[in-house]
Amino acid sequence: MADGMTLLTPESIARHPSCVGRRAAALALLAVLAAGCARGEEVTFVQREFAPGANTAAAASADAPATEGGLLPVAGGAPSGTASAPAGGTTGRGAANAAAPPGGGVIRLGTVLPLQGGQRDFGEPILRTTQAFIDEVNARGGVNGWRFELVAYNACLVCQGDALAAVRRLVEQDRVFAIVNTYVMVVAFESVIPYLEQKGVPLIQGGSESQTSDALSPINFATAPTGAFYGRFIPVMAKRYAGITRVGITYLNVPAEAGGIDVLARELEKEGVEVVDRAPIEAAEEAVTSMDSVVARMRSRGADGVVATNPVLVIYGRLAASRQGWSAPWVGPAAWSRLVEDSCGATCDDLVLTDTAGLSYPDRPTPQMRQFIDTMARRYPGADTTGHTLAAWVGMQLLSEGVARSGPDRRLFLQTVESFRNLDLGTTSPLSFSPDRHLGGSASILLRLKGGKYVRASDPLNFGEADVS
Amino acid sequence: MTWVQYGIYGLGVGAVFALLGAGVVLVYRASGVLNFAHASMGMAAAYVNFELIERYDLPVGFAFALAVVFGAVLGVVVHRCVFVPLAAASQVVKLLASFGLAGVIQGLVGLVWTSWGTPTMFGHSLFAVDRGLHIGGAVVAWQRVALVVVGTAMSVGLALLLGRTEHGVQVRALAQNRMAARLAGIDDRRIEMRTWALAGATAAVAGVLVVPFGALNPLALSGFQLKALAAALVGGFASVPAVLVGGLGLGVVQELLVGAPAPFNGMRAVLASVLVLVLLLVRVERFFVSALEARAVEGDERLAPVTGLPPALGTPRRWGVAFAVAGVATLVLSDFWAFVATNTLVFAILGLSLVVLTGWSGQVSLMPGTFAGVGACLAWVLGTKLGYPFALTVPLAALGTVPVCALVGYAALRLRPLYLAIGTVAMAGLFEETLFRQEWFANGGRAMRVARPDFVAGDHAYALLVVAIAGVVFAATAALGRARTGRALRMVRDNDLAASAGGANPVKYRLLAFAISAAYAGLAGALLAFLLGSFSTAAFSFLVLSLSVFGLAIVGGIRSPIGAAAGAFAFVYLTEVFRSSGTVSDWTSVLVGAGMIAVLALSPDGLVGLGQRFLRRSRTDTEPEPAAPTEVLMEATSG
Repeated sequence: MADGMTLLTPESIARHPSCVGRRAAALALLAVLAAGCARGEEVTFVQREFAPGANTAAAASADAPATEGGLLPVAGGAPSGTASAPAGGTTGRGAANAAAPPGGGVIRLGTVLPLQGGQRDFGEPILRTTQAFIDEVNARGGVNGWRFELVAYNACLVCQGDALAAVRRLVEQDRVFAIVNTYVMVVAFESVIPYLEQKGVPLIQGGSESQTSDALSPINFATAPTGAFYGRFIPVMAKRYAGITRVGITYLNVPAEAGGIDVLARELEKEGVEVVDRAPIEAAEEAVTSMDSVVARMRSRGADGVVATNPVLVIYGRLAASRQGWSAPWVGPAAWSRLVEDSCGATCDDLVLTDTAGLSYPDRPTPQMRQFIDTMARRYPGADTTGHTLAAWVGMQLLSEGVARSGPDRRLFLQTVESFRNLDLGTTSPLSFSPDRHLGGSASILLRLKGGKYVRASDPLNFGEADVS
Repeated sequence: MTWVQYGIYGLGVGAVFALLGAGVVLVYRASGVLNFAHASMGMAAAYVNFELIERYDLPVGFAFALAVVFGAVLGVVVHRCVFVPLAAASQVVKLLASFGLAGVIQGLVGLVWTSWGTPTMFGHSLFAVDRGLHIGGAVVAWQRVALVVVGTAMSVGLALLLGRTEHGVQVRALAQNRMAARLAGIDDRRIEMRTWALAGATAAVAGVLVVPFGALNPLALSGFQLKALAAALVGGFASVPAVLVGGLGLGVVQELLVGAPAPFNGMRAVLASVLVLVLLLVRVERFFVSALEARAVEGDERLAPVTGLPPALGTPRRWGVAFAVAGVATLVLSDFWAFVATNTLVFAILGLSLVVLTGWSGQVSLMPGTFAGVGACLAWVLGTKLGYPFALTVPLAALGTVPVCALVGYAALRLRPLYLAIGTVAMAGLFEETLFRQEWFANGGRAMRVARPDFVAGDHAYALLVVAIAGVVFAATAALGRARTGRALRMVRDNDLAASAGGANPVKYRLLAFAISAAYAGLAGALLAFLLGSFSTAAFSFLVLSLSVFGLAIVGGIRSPIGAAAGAFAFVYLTEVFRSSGTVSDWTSVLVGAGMIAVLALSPDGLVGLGQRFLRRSRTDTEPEPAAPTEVLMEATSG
């Protein structure tokens, strides 16, 4: 997710697919699957009108659906035997068309996040939001009668053995039904994914940090747009929205990030943008100390704009550029980042940004978005609703949708989620999954900063797949 | 013209390193502590500064002054609570304690300040960040100009303090001959306390001035620690003006490399590590300080002081019995706990690699995790890429680690213990940035998959296999420790000259210790790779693995195989205990760091030493530690 706290650990700042080269064939398949989405075309959302009170007890009827298109269950409502398909969406398989019979138990969920030390800022917002969603659902009687319980364990962002031990404990000792919202743990989960695949334990997340592995894992579902998201989005942003013709790319030289630079450069060239320089940042602290020199380097090579591949580089690079009186445009995946809002302010005005997971919909007037914002404001006054927290909320919405239709049967649940087509949860782009596609997002909205605040710069856009061959 | 700009920007960057490095030198000269927690102390002061401005609306300048006072008080507290109890310990022990201290400070800051909703970016600065001084075509932020000015002023001030004042003379006297200084009436505790206060204040100045460039979090500034160390090394931890030169020079070189074409600009990733290694090997401090001063600050650097207790080696037979029992016990465990038991044994073998290298031969290596990473990568190359069978892959990975790590062993021969400890930190960084990023060796740093054969595919089967391997390794190590070679290793550790005189070639035995240690670590790495199934080199980084392994070996008792086993058990078991708390908490960092300091202060031989004292009467199964070096020599050199 886009947040400047990533400065602490280079691996977690990585926004690009870590292994695009070696998974070219699989991505080519994804590209075919995604061909249905017109390149560069705007995506039309089927939006619900927000009906005040629709989610209150007074407005609820006894046989209201347990969950409806990502809305929280109706407060005090009894479990329902039928659940309607979400508005704007269809389900592709018969098994998923009807809701599961009402249950009456507890579904235990697990998550593993960095909850201690300097990395705590990564995990705490996700944990709090996940817990908030669960508390809200339980207070309203659960999903189809099923209440949720969350077990959270700590592991650092790159501690692979520790993460595997934590997940095994969740699965084997705590008997959790699924793992949720661990998307910042992409490096630590390199050891975990094969285990979850072997056990058939679902891994459900809003957003995504590793878009290729998410796409290929049979148990792993995420709500980011498919494939090499940035490989296509950033070039379009640079050319069409920022008017860049000669670009310098600056990125953190960690495997997960550096691995996507060739793809990005190729897509930029395809878009007609000449790549005049690549300036790797070798260590996290260099993002703080060396952006003045990077900007001087870009200028000396004749760049008229910069692509920075994470929020930290956008902020410090833009500040350095501002000091040097260089007003060239910058683009990057830094939308809805608290760090950008807090620190860059007017200096970053007019930057064209996207986020890391196709979640940039702060102004989408849906009841689901209102529920998210209201709940977070009520439970955590003063805390920010960032891409981090929205992603956690979306992940739980997706899980609830699956549970509402399958109950706590893992195999049926996986089939159910794979059957979702154009599922509109109201908080992100419509989601479509299939056995070959586990990144369900379909579009993203570009944002601009204005006076330190994000404003919409585009309608929902989908630019298809990047060429990663 | 652009190159001039890079150089100018480099001065601003280098001032950060110099400012932090000056505090490191100050403390080292006064109390022999190479303080890896210095940056964390500055970070804590930056939080205080934040608190005073944000919550109490104090003016920026006043808050800055109070933060500096806080830094001084923190320095005094650290000295009193951590390093006074460790006054008699070696410099290496104090270095390790500073790692624990960093964990304590970061944990406490997390407990007090870090919570969701706290701004991560600090918006208040004494000097402007968004405007700057126009010079030579460059625009240097006023905050960074201030850093250069303050860094220079502090260096000059500290140099004058050390060279021209009574306090400075007393500090130097203490550094050169503590006993003589005491006899001359110098109150060493008071002098040390004042110096710690001063160092804490410099850390605070650095923290408050540097943090506005980055995010405010418990890890703020820690990324600069190695570069500050490199700057401090330029002066051999003795000359403050040399630190300024070193820091500014490092900053300029770093920024010039930013402007260099590929692949030269990529050299920045290893710049600090290479510089540290070169400075350690060349001993550039001789250009800045006299030989007398350089020798004086070296002090006692042996890790394992003589405690009067023999190392608890165990006998091969007893180790065999113990692991046979462990194997049987494994059968009744659930799959999960069998996995945990296997993980424990892997850590125990890793700890054992340090027993041989550090506990016995006295060579302080902080890169056991790196060696294990080499073994894991070799397991991937041999087992997955080349298709070697599992039975061949694991031993070859262990043996293959030896030549890779021989380079480190060779370099180690030229370094005194404290410098070797620092050098291995730098070398770990070098490995992580070079070898661990190679496509052919480490899959470019991405995930690598290895598959266990069917007969050990299950958790219990693999646990039994690892129990058997660990049993063999521990029994062999116990036999080695009791044999002539083991005694010769310990003799080399305790007295180089005497060992040489007796015919025990120190070079040969030190290299042998490195070879054995590398093989053990490589074996553990390969076993860990097959335990995880899928991994990347990130799992073997200095911060993730090496520090943990060193910590568990110290806590368990680094001179004893039993200590390695006890430390591994405590480490893995406590991890599960703390994991079950499942809450957002920083108490773990505090407790682990404090526990490490406490063990270092109370029992140099760790948990095993405590147990030995408790069971002093039952020494029958341990080696009778020869009291006279000559006996050892005779044993070591006899046929």
